[in-house]
Amino acid sequence: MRRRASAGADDGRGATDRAPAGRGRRRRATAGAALAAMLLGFFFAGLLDAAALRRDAESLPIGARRTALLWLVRPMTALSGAVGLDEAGGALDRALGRNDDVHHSRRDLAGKNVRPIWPREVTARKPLRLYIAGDSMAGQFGGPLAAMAEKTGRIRTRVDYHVSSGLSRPDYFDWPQRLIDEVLDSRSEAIVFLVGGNDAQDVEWDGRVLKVGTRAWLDVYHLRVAEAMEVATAGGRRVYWVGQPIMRDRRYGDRVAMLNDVYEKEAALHEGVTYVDTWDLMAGKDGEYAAYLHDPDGGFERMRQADGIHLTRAGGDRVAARVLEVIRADWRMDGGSP
Amino acid sequence: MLFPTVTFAVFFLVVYVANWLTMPRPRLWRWTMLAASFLFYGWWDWRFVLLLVAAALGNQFLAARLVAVRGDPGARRRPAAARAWLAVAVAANLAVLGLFKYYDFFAASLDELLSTFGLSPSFPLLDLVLPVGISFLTFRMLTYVIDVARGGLDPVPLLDFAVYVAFFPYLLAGPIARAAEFLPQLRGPRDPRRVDAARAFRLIIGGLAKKVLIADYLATHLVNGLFSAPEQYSSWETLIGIYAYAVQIYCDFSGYTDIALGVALLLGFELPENFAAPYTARSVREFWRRWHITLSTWLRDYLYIPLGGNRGGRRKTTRNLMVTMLLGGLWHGAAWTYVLWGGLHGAALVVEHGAEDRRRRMGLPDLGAAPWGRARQRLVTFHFVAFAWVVFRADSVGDAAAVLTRLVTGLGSLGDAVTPLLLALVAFGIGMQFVPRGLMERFDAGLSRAGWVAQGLCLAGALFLIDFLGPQGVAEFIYFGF
Repeated sequence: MRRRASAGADDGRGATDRAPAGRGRRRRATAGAALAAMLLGFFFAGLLDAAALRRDAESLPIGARRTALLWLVRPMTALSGAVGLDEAGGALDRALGRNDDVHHSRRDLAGKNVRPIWPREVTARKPLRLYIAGDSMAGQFGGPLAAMAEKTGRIRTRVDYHVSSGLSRPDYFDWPQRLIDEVLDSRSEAIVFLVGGNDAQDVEWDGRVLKVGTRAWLDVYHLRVAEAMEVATAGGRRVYWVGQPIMRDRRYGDRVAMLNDVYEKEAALHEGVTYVDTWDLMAGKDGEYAAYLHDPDGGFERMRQADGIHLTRAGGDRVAARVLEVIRADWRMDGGSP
Repeated sequence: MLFPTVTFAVFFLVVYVANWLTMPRPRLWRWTMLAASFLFYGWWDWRFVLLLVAAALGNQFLAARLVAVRGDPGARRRPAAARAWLAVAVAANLAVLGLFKYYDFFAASLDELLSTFGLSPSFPLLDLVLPVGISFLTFRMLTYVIDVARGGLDPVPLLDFAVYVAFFPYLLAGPIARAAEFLPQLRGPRDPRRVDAARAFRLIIGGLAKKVLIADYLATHLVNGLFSAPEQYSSWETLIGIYAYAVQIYCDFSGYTDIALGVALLLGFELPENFAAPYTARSVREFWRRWHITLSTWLRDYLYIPLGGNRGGRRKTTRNLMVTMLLGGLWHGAAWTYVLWGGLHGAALVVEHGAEDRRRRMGLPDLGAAPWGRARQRLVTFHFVAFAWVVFRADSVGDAAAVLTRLVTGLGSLGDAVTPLLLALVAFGIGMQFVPRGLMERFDAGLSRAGWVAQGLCLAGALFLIDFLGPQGVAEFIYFGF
């Protein structure tokens, strides 16, 4: 079975011994020379890419690892700026036509031409424009939700998820700004939003680091959730804020429950926001975490991925069905006047 | 710890220096490498390190028992005690794998099956965290105890064995280095004046580019969406999505392997080849000689041949092929989709065997003798493999059917998910496998002569471009889940 392949770029072993003498033969390096090449490579790559490395380091959860990486990257950023190598990224961006996004301002959301959107009758000719957004979890139920919603023939969807995003770290991903841009560009009338899986981490506020779960941290998180809800509901848009499901790890689950509590409380304070609870929906009969659950057809299906956090396709379907039920009721799509 | 991260780069620089500094003192080197490997593995969860320690201690004990009872290696039949201890060793390793990886799957499947008969047994599910790379670890452990039992290998000191168990370049997703291949390198001298740096750099950079620039791009721009909601994609997008997944899984897995080989080379070790341009294969049989080679040769040597191989006539060959491929499928994950994927490949191998036998019996010409015949064989093989990947990728058989159904129900508009860049990457991912091997060797030779400054600058440019052009963040390698 192990036969030499005649073509292909893959190779794994002993090419030196097979290579013909002369031009095709590789010269071996000393361990010191290889180390020097690596150091030189990392050093210049670091200088060329200093800005991105710094952004990546800053986006890490606040803690020792982030501090150590920033300690490593900061002098590189300074040196890169001093010798002008930080221009390389910008020049390449311009050459590729990247980073030319134009952001809308928050004022545009509730301008004088904006009319209340809800309630209205949803028909095939005038479908509901639904924007589904959030972190990786939103990506997992967003696809099934979009498919189910489109199947009604009366809902048009757009799914927009960003892995590792949330509301704790606007320096990493700024969801309120994203919501402003998206709802204006896509003229969305309703938003399904789910974040939180990455939010249970320390945050910086006024130059201080606030420990996750403390009173000060909760105050800041309430403010961020409130801001996102205000942006999302501007102009009368309907928002379906989906809570996180139960988690396998109890400690992580407690933090997620704490975030869900914030969402539920803020939703009650913001007109147009409906909180959709998925905690019990994804729990077993005993109310505890369960990777496998019975689906509506009686099958016993795996709902959660191996990490005990993310959803499988069947799990996504389950959450999506619940959210669609809420949307249909809110827009009186099953009868009754809106 | 993921390879394509700054954290790993810093870790590796430290380990690299420690590796060559401690090389003259073998005992110190072994402890250093062991500590580095434990740190690498424990980066996810320190408790996983206990699994490595248990695997090393348990299998070393079993190997000692096996060597004590194995008798004369040249004898036709092993003593009963040796057979019993070998059974214990195999069962113990498979039990650990089964507990972590398969228990919940089989319990849930049995639950579902019995519920169709009106029973509700409700087996308790364990919901254990799956240690990364446990399937690869199990296969490495099995090569050790089986080779010791067969008399092809003598147990090595515990510290050597522990390094073999935990050696970080192959720890998470292979290649499955056999004890008999790796341990002699561990005990032999590694010359700090003869580091195959140029080839290592090319493998690492090539692997990073495959993973970050091709695999992750295809995943985020088409494949994930297609498999999450196939109803939203047209026939054209579905077809390109199927090709894209074939390229994604190749670039993801072979990219990881390339990086592992490169990292090991810099430390003075040569790991076995795992890929040899698999999409150039002209038959499914040849595909398995080119795809995940260390797994296919493992299955051949430790499962297919012990079952009897092709020595017992057509019926037994068919049985052995199907058993091997079904178990090979199940090795990938605890789901019926993997079993079905293995079954499809097994059936294809059986059909090919039959067709080849018939062709020889009837004296028919080999279709591959003509260039067009070879092209047609490649096309058919690639399409079989790519469509079988749909079953492999989907969460359930029903989801796979939903994707395949879109090929005919999504006719009409082309959709906008397939961009020229995406199409180019798919074409590149397939086309790169036809690059002659000699070209890469000449490139390596040229780079090796360029000297360390030029090599360093090449590294810098390539790393910058990969990070700059790649998506933000790093997705885990697909094979970490297996």
